Amino acid sequence: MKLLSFIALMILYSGISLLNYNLTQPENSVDIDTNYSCGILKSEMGKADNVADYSFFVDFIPSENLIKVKENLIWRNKTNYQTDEIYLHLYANAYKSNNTIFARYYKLSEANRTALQINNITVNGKTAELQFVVKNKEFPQDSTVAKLQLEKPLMENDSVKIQINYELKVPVSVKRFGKAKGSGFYFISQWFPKAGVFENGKWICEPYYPYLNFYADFGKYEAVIAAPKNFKVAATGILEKVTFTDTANVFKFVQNGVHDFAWVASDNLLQRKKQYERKDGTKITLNFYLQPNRLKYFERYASAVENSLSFFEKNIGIYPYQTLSLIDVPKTSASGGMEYPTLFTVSAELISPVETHQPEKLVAHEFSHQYFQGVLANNEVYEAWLDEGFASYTASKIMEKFYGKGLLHFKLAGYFPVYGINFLSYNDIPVIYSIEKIPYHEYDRSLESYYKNLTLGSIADTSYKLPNRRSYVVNAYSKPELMLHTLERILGEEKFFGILQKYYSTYKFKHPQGSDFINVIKNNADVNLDWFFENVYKKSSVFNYKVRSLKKLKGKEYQLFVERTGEGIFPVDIFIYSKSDTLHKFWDGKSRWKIFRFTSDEKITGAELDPFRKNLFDLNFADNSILTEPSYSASLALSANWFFWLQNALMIFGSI
Amino acid sequence: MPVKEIFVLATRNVYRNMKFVILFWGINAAGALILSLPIYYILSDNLNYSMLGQKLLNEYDFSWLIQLKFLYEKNIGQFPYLLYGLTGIYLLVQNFLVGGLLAVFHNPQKNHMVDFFYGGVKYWLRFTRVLLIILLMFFLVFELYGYLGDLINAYYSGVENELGDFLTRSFRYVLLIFFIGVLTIISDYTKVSLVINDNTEVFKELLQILKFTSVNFYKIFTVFFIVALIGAAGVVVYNLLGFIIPSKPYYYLILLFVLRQMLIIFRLLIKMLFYSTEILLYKDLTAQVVKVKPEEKEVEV
Repeated sequence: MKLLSFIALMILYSGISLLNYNLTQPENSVDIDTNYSCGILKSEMGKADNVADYSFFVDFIPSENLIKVKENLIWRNKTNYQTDEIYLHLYANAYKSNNTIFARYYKLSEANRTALQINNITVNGKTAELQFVVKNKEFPQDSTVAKLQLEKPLMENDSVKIQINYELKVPVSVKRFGKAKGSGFYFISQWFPKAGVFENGKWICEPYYPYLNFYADFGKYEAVIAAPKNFKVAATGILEKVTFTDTANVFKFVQNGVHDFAWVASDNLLQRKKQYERKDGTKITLNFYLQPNRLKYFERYASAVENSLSFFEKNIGIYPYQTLSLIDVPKTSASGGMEYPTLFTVSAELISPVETHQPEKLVAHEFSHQYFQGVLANNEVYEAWLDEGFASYTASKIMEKFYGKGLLHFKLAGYFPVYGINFLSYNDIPVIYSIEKIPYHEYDRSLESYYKNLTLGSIADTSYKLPNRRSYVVNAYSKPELMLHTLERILGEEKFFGILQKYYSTYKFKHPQGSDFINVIKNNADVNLDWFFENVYKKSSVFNYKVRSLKKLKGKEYQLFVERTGEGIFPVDIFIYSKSDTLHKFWDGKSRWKIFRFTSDEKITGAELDPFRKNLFDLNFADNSILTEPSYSASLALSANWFFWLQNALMIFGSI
Repeated sequence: MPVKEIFVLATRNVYRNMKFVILFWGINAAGALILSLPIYYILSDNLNYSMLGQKLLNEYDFSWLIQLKFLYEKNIGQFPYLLYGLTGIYLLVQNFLVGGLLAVFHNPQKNHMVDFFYGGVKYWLRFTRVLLIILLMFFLVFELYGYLGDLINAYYSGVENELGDFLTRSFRYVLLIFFIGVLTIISDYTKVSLVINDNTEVFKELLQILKFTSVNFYKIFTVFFIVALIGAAGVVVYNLLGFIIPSKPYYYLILLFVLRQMLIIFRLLIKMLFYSTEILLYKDLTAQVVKVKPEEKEVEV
């Protein structure tokens, strides 16, 4: 009996100990893995050429919505050119007033405003003075760019040490940076003075443009952040150490081979962890920081991240870092859907069935930025398409491969998804609608967006110079996504992914430009694609090929008349169908029109240009083909649907 | 009169006058046909000679729909104006038909087509006035709905409470549907009272109906709700049958078309049932109760 009691007690004790272990285990457990050094795979270490190393000591005081920062920056001249000045981005100053470039699109109330309060700044230990640089004469009060004059020029491989002490009020978030209204959630990005990029003897240091992103050199980042004990902190990189004082928890984050640093502090954030194992057995720690009311999305978030990692590892290249953090942000934080090295932000709708593909597609898109912009660090201010277009394309591919086609839906009362199409509604009341499960292609949204801006700007245009937001969205997101899908269709998926692998391995931890990507394509495609980039990338050519007529001549002879009605040139395959056979022709598509004459023993039923819909830019898929005999069934069937929907609409109105 | 009896009598009334549903259906179909013609023209232009048409019959292609909207942007952009314009005419014609129907329901012995048209002509102007007033009320309800939406946006933009936002918006939506129902009831009963009382003073009748509905709201709304439920049951049956009918080959679409027309006719019958129950209920609830004291008299034989 005593023995039994002893065993029972031991089991009880073990259970309590285990439970206690789980409860007391700090959620911010330190990340240790010998395959990595400072958060990056040892095998990838030498590839990242660190130019700007940062260390921060941050005192986060939420009671005053304030951060006090000591920043150390070591900048190295890794170019052949000399420079006697250092340009700095002061992104936080974008929130200073309504006279900044950023405020063109985001009007700032008093609560949304802030600016860096720099207490002192030294260069190599000597006090220095910051000079603001006006890059855009229309906005003389924009102070998001500044420079430091050096006493002597920095030659190749010289370095300079800059120390800056400053305070920054954390504003109520209007976009990307700040405290979420109505919650204790702080998203801290674009917060620190950050070196521009010295390239070909010139400093690239653009102001903070609204809706555009950033450009920076790689480096090692270390941040020691002291936050009150009730705050959880997440950040770029690995958590190297946590120390506990009487009043605060002090977190030390480290990350090598990245070009930005963002962090989050919240008094109400749940954390979940998972591990992803690469094919070589090394592991990536996946951190999920969730709003308590969105815990139900944890598995879906995790699955989307794992699927994305798997897709990239198989088709493009490995994720080189030790950790990846998904931050599920509150709606009021205005910081969702944004990417930072080893960290990205998402949010999910309250009601969001998997078939709507949300939040999965958002996760896939933001994850894709870990590669396109994270590791392949293009200049987002000049060539935003290199990351946004690629991320849109890969997110579509991930969705297609792992989730199949999404279903069209519209929302009732702003929340309830209803599968189908809402053609017309009056004050939230659907009037003409169809309720059915209709699948869509992932690129359809880009197609829809492209049609809203066919010709204003081109992909090759400098992003920040594009005249308006729509033009930017189309030329940075939609058109490049369609361009990449079209390229994939021309080259074949396997070949195209092979080229993407080459592009990634060649330019990882570098600053690729559009021309670099195009050269990789040209060098590996086996076919001449000059015409493609000329029409799709450089120009905003409009494409449309149509079959004008197909008629029988004498005997067995037929005539096919095809036409190019758009400016864009795109070689096309032509299929000519008889009852039991298909005749294949090819047209280089250069001339405005072409007539093909051919003979056939069998009666010809129709002809089709671009039968595999390789050219997603073609403006009218319907006129790509022709039937020798008209068929009314489709137009009648679709009109019958429409007729029924209108009968319903009239009944709704008629009940008044 | 108990609700059950109302339904029995109302259904009988609808059954006896079922022929008039053809008129309602004909007008509805004609309106829809007029509005469908521009769409048919667009679809014919786009698909009749294209192989894409055949593909669309087998599988929906959203890319094609996006293109269609883009290619025929101007034509499609004008469609809502056409719809609202035709709806105006449709409502005026509906007034005529409802006038005839209510006249017949009011006096079941006179249910010849001539009586129907006589009623239609007689009440058309009065019903049109009712329509204008009710449209104004709808406008006010939608304005209120809009302001409420602005208030919700303003409040929840500063508060992190998604569930609260969802519940408030859902409540607002339900409230809108409820008010649409209430306005429909007021509109219907005003027309009913205009027919029964043979009054031309629309405002007076409307005010009287407001009082009437508020006093008898429970019973009125119960009957309205039960009829609406019967209508909803029909829609559910239609959807179940719709799932069974395969979408290909395309000639099954003819079957679907027939089923859809059956649904429309069913819904029109339900609309007739609304009016029929309303007539009975109104007569019942406004009937004067005469208290008669029985007296026994000695009668000499």
